[in-house]
Amino acid sequence: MGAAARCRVTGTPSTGPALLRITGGVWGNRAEPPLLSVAVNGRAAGSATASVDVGHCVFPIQSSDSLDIELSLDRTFAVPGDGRALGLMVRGIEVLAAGQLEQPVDADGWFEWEDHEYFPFRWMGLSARVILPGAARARGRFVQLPIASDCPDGEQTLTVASGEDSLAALRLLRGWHIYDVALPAAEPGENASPLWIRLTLNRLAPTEVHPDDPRPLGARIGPLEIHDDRRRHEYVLRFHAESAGVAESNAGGVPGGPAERGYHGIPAEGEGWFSEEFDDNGPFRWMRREGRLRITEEMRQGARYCVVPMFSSFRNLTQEATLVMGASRVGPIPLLKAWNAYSVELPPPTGEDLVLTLQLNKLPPPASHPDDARELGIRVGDLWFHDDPARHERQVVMYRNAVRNQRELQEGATVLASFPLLLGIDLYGKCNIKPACVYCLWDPMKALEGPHVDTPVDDRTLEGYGDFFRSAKQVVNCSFGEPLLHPRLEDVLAFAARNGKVAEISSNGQAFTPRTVRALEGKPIHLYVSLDSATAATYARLRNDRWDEIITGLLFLREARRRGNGWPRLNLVFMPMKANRQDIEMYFRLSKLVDADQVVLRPLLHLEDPGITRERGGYRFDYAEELLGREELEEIFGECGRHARRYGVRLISQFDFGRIEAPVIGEGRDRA
Amino acid sequence: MSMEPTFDRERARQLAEQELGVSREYLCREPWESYYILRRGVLPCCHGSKPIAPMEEWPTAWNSAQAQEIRRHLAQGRLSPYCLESLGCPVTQRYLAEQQRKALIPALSPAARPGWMRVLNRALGGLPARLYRLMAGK
Repeated sequence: MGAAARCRVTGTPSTGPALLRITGGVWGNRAEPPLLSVAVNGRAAGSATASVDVGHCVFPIQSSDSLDIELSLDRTFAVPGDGRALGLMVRGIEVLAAGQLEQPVDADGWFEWEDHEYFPFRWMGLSARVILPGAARARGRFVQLPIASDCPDGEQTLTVASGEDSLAALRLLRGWHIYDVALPAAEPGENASPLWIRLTLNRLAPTEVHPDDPRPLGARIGPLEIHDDRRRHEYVLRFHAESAGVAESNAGGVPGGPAERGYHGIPAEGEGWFSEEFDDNGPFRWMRREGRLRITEEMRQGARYCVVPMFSSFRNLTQEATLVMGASRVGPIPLLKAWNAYSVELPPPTGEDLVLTLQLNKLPPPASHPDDARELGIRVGDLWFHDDPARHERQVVMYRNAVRNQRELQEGATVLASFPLLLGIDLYGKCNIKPACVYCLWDPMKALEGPHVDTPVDDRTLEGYGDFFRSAKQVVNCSFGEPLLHPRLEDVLAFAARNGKVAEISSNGQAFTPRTVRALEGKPIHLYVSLDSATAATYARLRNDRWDEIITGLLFLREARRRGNGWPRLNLVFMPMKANRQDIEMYFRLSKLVDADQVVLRPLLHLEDPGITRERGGYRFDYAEELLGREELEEIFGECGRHARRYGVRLISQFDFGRIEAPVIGEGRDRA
Repeated sequence: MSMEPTFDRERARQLAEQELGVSREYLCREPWESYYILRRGVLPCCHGSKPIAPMEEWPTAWNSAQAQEIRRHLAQGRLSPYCLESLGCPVTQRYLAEQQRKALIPALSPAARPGWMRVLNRALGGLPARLYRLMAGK
């Protein structure tokens, strides 16, 4: 339109109170958007500053069968090459009957909706308004807002106000998070009036975040949801309170990290190394047949032991390493397959640098890495140092057991003098999901557990397992129950970590609280979170209506993992079924949202004649029908592969369990 | 681009896997490397269908007769009866699928093929026979 325009709208949904929403914006002079004045059927409806780019202007009106609408601007723009006096680009004119609105309505201050992340969102500028319809207000006392800030934690605040009343002042955290605000009480029944809410930021997003986008962007806001669940509201507030507490305790200090502080790195020197790469274990460098590491006093800090993580491609103990430190020599020691941490006693400090030379007896044959012509020996990860003889001894015990175990396996021994490398444990037999997930074999498993269903299992039990625990490198929890509910969770996890174990824990994702997230933070744990859904609707088919807590918890876990140097590792598990087939792409978006390390495809347990049918969330779950055939699974694998590439999310499949693949040499990625 | 014949590359890859110890892998390593002490009982692996001992017998179940039997079969390149009953195990599922495939192949072997199949094969330019050889891994 130019300076003024008129239109007629007929066939409006009803008469009575309504909202006239003009969607459009200016093109050209972004610094001074014009003032838009609107009259309806000859009566002034109001004025509002037009939006830069595309946005809304909303005016309360009285609707009728026919509306003559007049739009006028206080100025127009001249665009080079176009002789017209241009005003507003009008994208749409809507008449929304106030009494029929069910969902929040965007008023001014918003940009267009975008839908390429987990949450659809629109950017707001410094200030924006949204209208909460009366019908929606009548059903809920709270409103949940997914918000993404691009500023460091706490530097951006969002005030939520209704008229002169401040409803909340939100301290925004970087990235997506869930926020929840209590609303003023609404009139009872169907006559609740709409509530105009103003959201105001203290600052815009840094321009470096959107260098090619000249719009004045504040924060990304997802769909607002009105609800009446106080527990949900308080769940969100607890996490934010915890986050503020963590920020205070970290203020002025170095952010927390994994249990080990001090030097972590690969002090490689000389010709024996290739450049740094990155795999699931973290940073590493490929070493040729021989490589030198220069350990300074500053790195070592007088420590007696050095832990050298090494990755061997050999599965048969035939690759050996010798460690030479001046006159001192360790080895040759057989290298275990894949990553292992080797604790080495160093010579006493002399005040000079210590050169540690690693020498290999053999290299993987070139034909095992045909796409990589380099002379590849082993991968070496970040070294670190400690001063604990007991810890060193524990590493030696685990190493010797692993070598013995591998030898016995190669010999086909049936009676073993060695102990398992992986110890499965059963920490907790209770679950917070009641009724159980539709596919869970809860009742038969609890019957099988018999007298042990309430047997306590904790750090004292693990200690009691003696050599079975001492020799294992890994403990895997396989409870039919939710381990994060364990009353001694912190003690158990700390005990396992202190004893050099990597733990594997599966969780239903519905037990994240500030306490459990704190217990997990920075620990050497692979956390498998089984969601099997990416939306509230699908989650309700398989479990219950608490999907909102999942997202909140995972986002705070994300923050804890960042503080903990990426630990615990987060694996999001998806069991493809008929019931959740449609959620696959969203699952990858969700994984990206929460910074998951990978998506894990897991088969639904194959049962002959399961006879399990359940009604849940408006869906009839029939176990036998949910099992997908091979052809459909192959389609799903292909689909997952495409989404994994598109969203940059790593994907692994437990359908391949037990399949022995040749070690993939050269699979390291460049450090991100 | 390498001009090396395909079979030489394939042979080199097989030799490399031998050297790395990949080719000598059993169908499953779990009964040596893992041990599950769970409330429902002691299991030799994460996909075992039933316990090999009650929970309280964990100190001795590691080298029990049943654990030994499972290891013995695997060391001989076979799945034990315990494994074959554990249908939730992907290794077992793959093993059974492979057995079914192999059972199908002899029915189509040259010696078993009826005359009309040979005529049809010639009429289709030998394609069915080539497909058979591909399926049989020849």
